[in-house]
Amino acid sequence: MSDKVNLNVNGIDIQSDSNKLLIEACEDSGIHIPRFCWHKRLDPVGMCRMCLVEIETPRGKMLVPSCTTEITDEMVVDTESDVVKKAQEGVLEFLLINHPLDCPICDKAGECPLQDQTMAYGPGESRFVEEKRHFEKPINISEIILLDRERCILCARCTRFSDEISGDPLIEFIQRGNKTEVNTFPNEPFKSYFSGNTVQICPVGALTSTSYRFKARPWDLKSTRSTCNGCTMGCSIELNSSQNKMLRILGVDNDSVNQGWLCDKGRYNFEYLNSEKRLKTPQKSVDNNFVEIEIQDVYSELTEIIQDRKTKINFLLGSNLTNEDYVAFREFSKSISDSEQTFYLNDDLLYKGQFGQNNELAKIDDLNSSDAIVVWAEDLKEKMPVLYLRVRQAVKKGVKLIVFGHTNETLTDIADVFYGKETVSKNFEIIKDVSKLNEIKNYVVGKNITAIIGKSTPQQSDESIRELSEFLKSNSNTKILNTYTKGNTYGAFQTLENIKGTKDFVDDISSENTDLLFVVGADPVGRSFYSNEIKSILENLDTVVSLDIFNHETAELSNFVIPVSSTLGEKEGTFTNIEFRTSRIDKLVPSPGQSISDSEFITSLMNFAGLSNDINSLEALNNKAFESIENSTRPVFDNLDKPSNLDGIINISDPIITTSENSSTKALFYTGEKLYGDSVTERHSESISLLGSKKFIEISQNIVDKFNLTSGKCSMVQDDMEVTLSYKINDNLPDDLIYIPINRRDLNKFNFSKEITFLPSRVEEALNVN
Amino acid sequence: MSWDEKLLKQAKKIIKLYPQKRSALGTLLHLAQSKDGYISDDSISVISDLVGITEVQVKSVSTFYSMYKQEPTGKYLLSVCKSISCEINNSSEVINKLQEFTGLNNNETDEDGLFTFEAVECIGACGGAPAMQVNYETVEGLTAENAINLCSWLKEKQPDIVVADDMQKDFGGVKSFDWAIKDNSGATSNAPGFQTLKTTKAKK
Repeated sequence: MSDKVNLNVNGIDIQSDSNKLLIEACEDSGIHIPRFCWHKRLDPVGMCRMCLVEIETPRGKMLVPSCTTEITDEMVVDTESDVVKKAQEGVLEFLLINHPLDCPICDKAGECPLQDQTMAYGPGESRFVEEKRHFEKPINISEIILLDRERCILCARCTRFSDEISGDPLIEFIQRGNKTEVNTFPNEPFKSYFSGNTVQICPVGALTSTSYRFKARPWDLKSTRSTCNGCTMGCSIELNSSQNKMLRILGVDNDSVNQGWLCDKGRYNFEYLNSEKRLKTPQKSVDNNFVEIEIQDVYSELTEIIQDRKTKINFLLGSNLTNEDYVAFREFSKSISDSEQTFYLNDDLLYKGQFGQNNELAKIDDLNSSDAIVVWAEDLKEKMPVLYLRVRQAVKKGVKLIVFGHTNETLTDIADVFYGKETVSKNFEIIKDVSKLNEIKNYVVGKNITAIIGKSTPQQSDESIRELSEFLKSNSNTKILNTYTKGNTYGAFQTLENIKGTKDFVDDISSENTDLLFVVGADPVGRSFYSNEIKSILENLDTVVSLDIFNHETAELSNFVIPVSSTLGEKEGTFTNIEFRTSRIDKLVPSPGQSISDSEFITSLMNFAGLSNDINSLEALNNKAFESIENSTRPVFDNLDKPSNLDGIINISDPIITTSENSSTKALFYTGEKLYGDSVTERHSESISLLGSKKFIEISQNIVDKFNLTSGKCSMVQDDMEVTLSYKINDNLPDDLIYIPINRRDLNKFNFSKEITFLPSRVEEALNVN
Repeated sequence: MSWDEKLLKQAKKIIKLYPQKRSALGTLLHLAQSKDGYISDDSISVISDLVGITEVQVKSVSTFYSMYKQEPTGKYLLSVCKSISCEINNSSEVINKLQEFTGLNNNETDEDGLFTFEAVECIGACGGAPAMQVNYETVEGLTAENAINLCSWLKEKQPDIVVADDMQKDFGGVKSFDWAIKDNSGATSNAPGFQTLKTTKAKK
């Protein structure tokens, strides 16, 4: 560990680690130094000069920026001297010279560091009588981010974030001196998955999001801390609402997880909560029409079905339930039948994973402390953007990165070794003998490895995933981060026994073994790779009950549709992330209409049906979820609400995933998901719907050559389906492989085990005719 | 890609001179300027591909330095020094008279695309103040009259290569130092004359 250093700040002796910057050391000791450009997650630049302090030097007292000054032993610092105060006044006067002071119409007013620090440290009066600088106000630098250059104080937080943290520097300072502005390259918008973070760290109102612009005043906001359930990262978030409407999500700096950052999907995919199209009343399908029905009638009709002893019930559960919801379904099934219930998760990529005694499981923080990271999973940037940031961070600190598979195209630029199409076949098998790959041996043998390992596509065989981890385990000290990417999957692992995925659902379920099916928070017909198969199964079942927040393709095939509360912002509960860290999900806004939470529905149904239950409160469910865990680390509400546990509690447990082995299917295409799609929630979130609606495929260069493609458009045809979409060339793809992002409607309706006619010519023919 | 093979080859040669690709940025921007007379957005895209940084990062550098022009300049870029030594030696008269002669304000280009006028900070010729540059070829010991004669000559002859020594001989006066090696080569464009960029050529 680093040495301790003694310094004297404002006459008080303090102690700090020797490698700290003066501003950090003071902050740790409770001495606040005003700042704009300095941010603890970014490299210091010393742009704004707001943090000037006086230190004693052999040449007398000297003003230095505390954000770029490293502390030394016996340093004597004054942060409040008259000289410092004069400097602060001067800096603020300069900053305000070109600042428009349009606080009355600025979204930042009320939570604005420039406003606050001008109040606290500013000169109070302006001497500037000349005309201020003017820019067009505001400009769209992307579909969701607006930039008001007049307000910018050139702290470079946004440009440094995009360069250092997210690695997509699409904004920079243009011009210089008085003319300096932040801007993008013409026709090259700030298309970043992380652009929302720049809005959050902007110390003035220069960067705003279309989503929150002019929506509320900070002092009117209600807020609570919660956990994002968008993917299995479980980023800590702050929810903001006003007048019972969710308005904004901010990242909370949880050191072990997201460090304050969020992806734009996590940040903006909440707008659906306020959608007019939310389900508000329970509905029943009568002669293919949905009619409104009282919830009591739903209970009584279902009770009749349940009380028939022969009724066979199954569950297809989405990944966006809380742990407590999962427990409710578990207890429900236990109360009806003694036999062990299998729960199907709505996950095309569910496979057994590497758990059990032979595997040491990794935490996210292990990324930073290992010698090398090996990635053999879905594209992290697309599926777990904040985990991608953490990998980037580790690599920046010197950890080596080895990436397998043509799916991980976004990591290739920072990877030390990338095994692409030469090593990984179209079927996602590593075709070469891993032990003979020399580059990987250099980085791996005898080292500490964190392996991010998961299934990339439904076509991939389970065996092919294991091979690599076996090699790693036998040659190095490997910790495995089993990577499932969907929502609260790990919560399901912790609370349910016998878990299977959609592949097994398709294989197992038929009207012979299922009379009543609950589909909860899942739209497999609209979203899954197995869409068609699931559709025909649902059509043949006696009774299907769908619990969700919107009507969707799956709900339309159901007999009952129950409106439920969204896990985001409308429910209390817990969420478990990829490292089995359980943290709080909190409620901030009411659900529309008669929506109730999934667990409330189930417990009410149990009460109605006279089934014995001891889970009539959320606390009871929460306790039941973690019964087997030792008391002090049990992530129950009481423990989680302690200030020291706000970041969550880790309880690594081994899930029982009984999914059957999947051998690789003939891959004519490979399917995956991009960050943005057009799922039912995304469609109803204005900001996100702009980003995920475009249909496209990615193809290898040889296909372009073979068909002589030029127009940028093509058609996919199968039976009576035809979809016209654009194509992008992806150099990482093996020859003759087409990548299809199936989190877009229509695209998942193709039968991927059958041939799809690929018509490059349709559009071009039409063009040629003209 | 709007750069022809020859230029791209030259660019790749330049990149090889540096330990990291992105270190070649400054020189490549000069190369771009020698091609178009300014840094076009097309050139920025090409350079960004060549050195592996984003377009806006290239743009940021190119707009920071005033020697990279953001708009096309005339055939001859007239840069008159306005810093302290030249100012004491009456550079403002040179500036005024030249502006009068060319009809140009600061940073303006005439309609024929012949002259661009700019008043600049120190060009390192204090010993021969006042001084100016034509396409970065320096002439020292100017008078307002000589400066106008120089421009009239440029206008009349329109030489493809401007050579500092020639202009100094015909239009200059006192020099900072007189022991420099005679140099018969001069600038071929309004980018500074570098041999690696092939923007300098000997006059026949």
